[in-house]
Amino acid sequence: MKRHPLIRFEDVRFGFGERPVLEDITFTVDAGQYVGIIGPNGGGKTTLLRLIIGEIVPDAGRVLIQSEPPDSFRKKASIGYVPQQAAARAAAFPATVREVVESGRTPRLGLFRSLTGRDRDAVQKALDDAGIADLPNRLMRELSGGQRQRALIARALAAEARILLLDEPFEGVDVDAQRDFYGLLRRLNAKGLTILFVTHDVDIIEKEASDIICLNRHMVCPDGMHAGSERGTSAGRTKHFHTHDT
Amino acid sequence: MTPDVLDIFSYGFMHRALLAGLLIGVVAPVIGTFLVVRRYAIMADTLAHVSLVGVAASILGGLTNPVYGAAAVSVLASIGIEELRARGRLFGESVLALFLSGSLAIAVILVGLGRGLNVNFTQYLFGSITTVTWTNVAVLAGFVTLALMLVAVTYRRLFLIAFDEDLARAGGIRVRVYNAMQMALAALAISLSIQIVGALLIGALMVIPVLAAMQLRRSFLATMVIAVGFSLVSVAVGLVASVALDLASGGTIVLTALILFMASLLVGKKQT
Repeated sequence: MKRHPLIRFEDVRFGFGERPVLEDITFTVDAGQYVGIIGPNGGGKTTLLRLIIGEIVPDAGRVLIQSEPPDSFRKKASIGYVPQQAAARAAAFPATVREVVESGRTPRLGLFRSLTGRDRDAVQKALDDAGIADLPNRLMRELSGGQRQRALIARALAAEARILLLDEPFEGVDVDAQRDFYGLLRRLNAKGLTILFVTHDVDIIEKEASDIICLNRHMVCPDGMHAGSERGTSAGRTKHFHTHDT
Repeated sequence: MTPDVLDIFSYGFMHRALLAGLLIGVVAPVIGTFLVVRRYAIMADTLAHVSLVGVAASILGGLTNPVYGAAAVSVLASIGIEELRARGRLFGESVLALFLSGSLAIAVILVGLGRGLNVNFTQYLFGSITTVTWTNVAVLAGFVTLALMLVAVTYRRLFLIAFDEDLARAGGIRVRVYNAMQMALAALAISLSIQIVGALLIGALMVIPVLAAMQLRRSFLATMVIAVGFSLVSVAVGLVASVALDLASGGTIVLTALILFMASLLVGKKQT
């Protein structure tokens, strides 16, 4: 199968002041992969996602998204991001689901442009794909935790994101809703969306992800990334997960 | 003896005050909506206190219209507050407390230095509608037009930043630029309004109509529009009542807004 490298980390190092958070990080994620990122608190999982979206830049090494620095890719609004606690924060915000999902189009809109027919079609498709087509006029605060997560996923889909990054997306979501939610992610991945999600849950990551990145400042299972591995098989997947305090 | 309600509108100062009040009534909740949903409501009060430093310094310096001194000082302070907040060295609320108490201390000292100027200063604390000139109204109208145009043009970006700054940054939006713009608009709105509503009460006009509108559980845009409606009613009823009943204008406006808030609280409870 032909590989299409989408995200590339080359000897990346990042730290806050003198304290290193990530060191010697090298891996490639191909288009269409479904990657779980696991590791202990402070292991650098969220920092890795922030490097991908270009919010921070490496102290050494480089991060490339489709052979470009993340910042230029970010301008194309092609990375959908659902940060940690985003669903909990959204619960207190006085906005409808439609307003939130439409905000996914904002980075693509010029200052003097309003939503076009194409934008509205993208929003409707995102609502459909996320399974919340019946909720656009509901307030975010009226939704369950799982529905709020879907609204945030729909927001990313409305941006026509090619990469979806989820940082501990299941905090505050009940078990049934989590199961539905993983079903949604699998369907989106099957349609070609590249997904990276951060979790603490070893069982979930073993069950759901087709590839795994284990992080504890270093990549503790660097053999875990094998491009082209198939869902449902163990080919290319790491079977070991190390945690040790930094 | 209090004047007849209809006679009130024959006073020239009332035309100016009503027009200026309605202009404030539109812009205050528009800016206030973004502050409230970002849990930054106390920002309005902080900037109002900061503007008092500009008022006191202007009076001491012999400037004819202290409102412009207030505007300059509060815009500078708003940039400082946003810079400190963005660097993350202090919690957002502690930055506001620092500026609020610090600026009040400076204002009190300046007023103390200019003994005999207390009467002038007091009118900016509580508002004095009789002092509003046509020039004030014209400047306010220009500012409100500019502010509404800026908010309209950047509305979707401001919404996204208010909803989640992380998401906005991930989408390549220059959050710091838009935050600085919002804070500067808030500072200008507050300093240009203190003549009517008073520095101690303008924060309430930015926040209470928004809180009242939020009780009605509508979309973000509808909440903002309803807040403007509540604010206009508060200003109009409050100003007329203050003249008719010989009450302080700022206090009457804010009290009207509070009554609307309590009514919307009841309506909101019935909806749940």
